[in-house]
Amino acid sequence: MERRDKFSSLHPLTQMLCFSYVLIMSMFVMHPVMLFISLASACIYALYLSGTKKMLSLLFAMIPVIILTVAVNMLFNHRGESILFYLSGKPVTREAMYFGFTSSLMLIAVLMWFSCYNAVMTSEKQMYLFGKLLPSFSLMLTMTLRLVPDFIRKINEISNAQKGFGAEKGSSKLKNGMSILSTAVTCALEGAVIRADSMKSRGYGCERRTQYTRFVFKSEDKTVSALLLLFGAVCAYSVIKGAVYCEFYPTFSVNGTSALSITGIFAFILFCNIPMTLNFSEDIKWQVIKSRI
Amino acid sequence: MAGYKIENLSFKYNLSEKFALSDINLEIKDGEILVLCGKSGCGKSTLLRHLKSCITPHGKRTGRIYFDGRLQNDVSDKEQASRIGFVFQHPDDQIVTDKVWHELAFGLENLGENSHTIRVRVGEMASYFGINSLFDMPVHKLSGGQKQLLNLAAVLAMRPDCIVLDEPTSQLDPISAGEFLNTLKKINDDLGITVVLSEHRPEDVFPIADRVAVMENGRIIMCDNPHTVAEKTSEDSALFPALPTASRMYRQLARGGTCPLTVKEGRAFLHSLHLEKDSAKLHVHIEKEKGDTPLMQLSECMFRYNRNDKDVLYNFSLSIRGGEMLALLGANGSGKSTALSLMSGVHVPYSGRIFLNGKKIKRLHAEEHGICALPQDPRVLFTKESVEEELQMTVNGCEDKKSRLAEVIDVMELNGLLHMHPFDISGGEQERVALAKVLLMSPRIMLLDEPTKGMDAAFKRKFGEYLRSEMQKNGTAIVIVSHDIEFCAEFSHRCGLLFNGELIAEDVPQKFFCGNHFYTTSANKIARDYFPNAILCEEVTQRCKSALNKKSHISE
Repeated sequence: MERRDKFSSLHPLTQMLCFSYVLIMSMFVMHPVMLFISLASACIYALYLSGTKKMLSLLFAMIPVIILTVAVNMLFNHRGESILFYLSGKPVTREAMYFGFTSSLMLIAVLMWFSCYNAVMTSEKQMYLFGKLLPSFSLMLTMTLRLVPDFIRKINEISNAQKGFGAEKGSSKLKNGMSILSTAVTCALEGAVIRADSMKSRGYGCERRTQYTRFVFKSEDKTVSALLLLFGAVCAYSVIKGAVYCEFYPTFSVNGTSALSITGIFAFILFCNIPMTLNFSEDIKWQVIKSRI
Repeated sequence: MAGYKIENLSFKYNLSEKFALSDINLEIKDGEILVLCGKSGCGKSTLLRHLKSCITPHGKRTGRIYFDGRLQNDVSDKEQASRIGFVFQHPDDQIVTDKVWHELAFGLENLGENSHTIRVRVGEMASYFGINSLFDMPVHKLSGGQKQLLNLAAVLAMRPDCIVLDEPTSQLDPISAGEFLNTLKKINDDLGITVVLSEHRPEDVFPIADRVAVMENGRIIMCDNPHTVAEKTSEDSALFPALPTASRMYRQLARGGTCPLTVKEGRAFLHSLHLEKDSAKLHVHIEKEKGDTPLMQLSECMFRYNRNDKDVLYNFSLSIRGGEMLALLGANGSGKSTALSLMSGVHVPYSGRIFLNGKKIKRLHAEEHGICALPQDPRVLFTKESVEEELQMTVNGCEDKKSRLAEVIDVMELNGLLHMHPFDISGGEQERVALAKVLLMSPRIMLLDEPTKGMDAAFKRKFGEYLRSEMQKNGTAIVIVSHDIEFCAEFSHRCGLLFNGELIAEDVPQKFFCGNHFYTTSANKIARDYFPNAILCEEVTQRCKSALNKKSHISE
């Protein structure tokens, strides 16, 4: 069942802040606990966004990734002190196994977050964000986004029309394909001439363009962004201070018992689960409203 | 305040010797609807493009254009961009962005308006046009009519005082076209925006026009209110067959009074003649050729594009004999074009059978089985650099087809176009080139998708007659899909109505149209009370004449 995601209705900047932070943390902090938190939150969120079936199929597709990463690490990485066994004269170490496992966690976590990103950040939102950086590029992107699928549809239409016209006789497949392509290109160029006229006639180039957006930075965006910044800063502080750190070589050790590191990890849990917290509070709110009705 | 005054405007394209516009004097009053009529290629588009500096074609120009009392050159591009809206012919090509909301905002972004203003204007426009539900849609999901309405809305969001439209309905089916024109009328009534449009199907625009300007060879030969224009057009001019049915009846009966334009006025006119009701039963002589196996037969065909989609064609059966024209009518999305694609072998029904000459065929092949289909958009057939090469390619160097080539070029009036690039000619001309290609293939079964769109009325008749002779001579079977009820009524042998993928009615045109109340010709709508089984304008006038003669005899 598709559910309405509260986080998706926030301002794109807030969403981008959340996704980019989580992705950066997942990519650069090689810490099994942090990565596990990241992966678990991503899974829960993906479950909410795209449903059990899709999420599970995505997760199952990642099992080979885990096996492959761990296996490759164990076979080709010989660093580490605790040797498990020798394979054709080369040592296979426990540390390499841990490292492989952690890296596969990282890979999956990043992929899961990207699947959430895709569901939340529609083309319109991305365009808005990139448009802020490069205004003219954004219009070009919008036009391309339309032209490419249009071109493919046109090619289909032309190929069907020529099939129905019955003039393929005697010409090779390649030649036929070329003529279809040439017609499609001519159509596209012809369209471009008219489009240029249409743009000119609607004042393109008369004035510095503004960019219309339908997004407003609301008070809830402020609140959520503030929370994200707070949790993010606490977590980042503890990472930078070395409180959340994991050593793989020569021996595997995780430092995660000091007050600072626990605070950092806790802040990360809160950060990663902000989208879901929003959804839950929204669900509860609706339950309350419903019971009142 | 946003009127135009054009003084002695002449214009010549750089490479051409002929004047595209010569000595045009025209005043466009503030708040009026002015319609430009004329054959395709008479200079309508060229004149309209002169009304906005930034899209004026390059060439040699003399004369003056005043906009709003000022010389057009003195009005800045920015002012023109916002105060003069321009809507082009092709609904698809003039759309710039990928989403409906963004398209509405595009012009305002160009003018440098801030987000708040744009939000208000875009919202206002969407509400006025009732396109709220389309607001978030990608543009490619819209139908042709919706796209053209979007183009109009996008222009109106910039709050113009005047909108110029270059054949805005030529790519639309009559129902969407009617809707579009009604919207134009409403805008003009509600907001007093000046509207200038060109149109090759004057039947629909005459009733909404305040004034009509008729063009011929780059000159304006008449400019007056539509009643007068309909009254004064000479019977042998190219415009005459394009006049509204009611006006043509009036003209042919020559009875005095004001010239009617609409069905309503036409009915009132017929009433004023005090005719007697024709109670004669309908006797249609049908030659049933039993035992003659149909050239092609489809039996209980089902088709859909995807496993989980709805059926586009459901239980679709049809048969067509040699020398016969079958017209398929129906609203947009009723599966007409899909039906043609099954008959040309482009798509294969997932259930049902297809017979050719009584033999069951597993997989239809257009070239193998002598079938030739004309696609909806003629441009997709063009692969060569000139019209001549395009036609030569179809003939493929066969000597015996030389005479045929000359004949087809002559009939389709392509003589002046042979050296042009097929993409450089007008929409109606492209349609004619594509039709010529189909005719040159000399197929046994011709499948034509909207062949008459973009054709002017005079040529339409000639084309219909040529098809008729072709059917008689070669026994060609023709299936046409069309919204052009008048054409189908006059030239087809049988008509079928498609609804929801099913052929729900099929009969000879007389019976088919007389039985329908809404889906019938204007002549039938006008004269239904007196001559219930007349469906063509000529039929009605003839019967009127004989009835009037009888009456005058009695009174004598």
